[in-house]
Amino acid sequence: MKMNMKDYKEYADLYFEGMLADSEEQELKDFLASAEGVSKEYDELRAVMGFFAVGRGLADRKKRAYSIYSRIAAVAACLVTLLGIGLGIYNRKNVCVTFYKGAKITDKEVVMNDVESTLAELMSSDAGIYDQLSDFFNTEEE
Amino acid sequence: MRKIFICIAFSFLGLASAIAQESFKTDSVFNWHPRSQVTMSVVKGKELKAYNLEYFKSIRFKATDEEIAHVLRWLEEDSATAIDDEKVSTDGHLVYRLMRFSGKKPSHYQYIGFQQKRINSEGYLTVVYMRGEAVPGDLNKIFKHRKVK
Repeated sequence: MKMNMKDYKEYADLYFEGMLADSEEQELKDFLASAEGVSKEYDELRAVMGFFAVGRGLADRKKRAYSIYSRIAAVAACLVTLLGIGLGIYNRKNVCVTFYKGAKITDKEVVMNDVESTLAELMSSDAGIYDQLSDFFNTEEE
Repeated sequence: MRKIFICIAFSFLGLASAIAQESFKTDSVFNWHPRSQVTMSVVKGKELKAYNLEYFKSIRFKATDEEIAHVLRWLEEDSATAIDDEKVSTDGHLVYRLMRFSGKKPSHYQYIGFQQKRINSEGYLTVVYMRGEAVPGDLNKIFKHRKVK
């Protein structure tokens, strides 16, 4: 809508009362920037609108910065929670498996037999050379 | 943005697993050979309660002299933080080593065990990692001189 003098005065009054919609404010700005709005009598309004425009820009920047920090904090909180859940899941899981010549064995008796025989050999191998010799003769199939 | 967040989330889950595992140089031996060439056991949880352990991992494989040297070097590096270290050597060769380390919780310990055998001039290594509340006395009592099946 093309503004004329009458509209300008109405809009200017409403502007100073803070009752202009964004679209109306934009129209007023466009008017002030046009050939018709360059007159010196509009200088005061132009100066005030310019001042508020700068102020709003600064306020928007602060709002944006705050929003970024809160997003970062939210992401960090989620990641820490996921880390905790991951650790919890990992720590609770029971596992019982032996890999023998490429085959995966999950029979608990077989697996625990391997565990016990491994530890028995290990714990007995500190006994000295003579026990080790007897181990050497008790070769296991590999 | 959502995809990036999901990727980061899964990376953190992976990181969680990595952090939860032991961090010893000797641990590398468990990822060395394909599973077809080793005998490896991993047990975690209730099966180990009788031994006062919560996690057990062992690997046995035929090793070259170079591989044996690598493992011995890793053991030496890890021994820097050991609170107990038992060693037995025969003819200048280390045949047994059991090291105890502090655990991540109070009254918890971590162990690295090593055994080397020579059969027909070929080297066979056994490496064990375990952790739990067991003290060396417990393990000796249960396993020492137990008949190998």
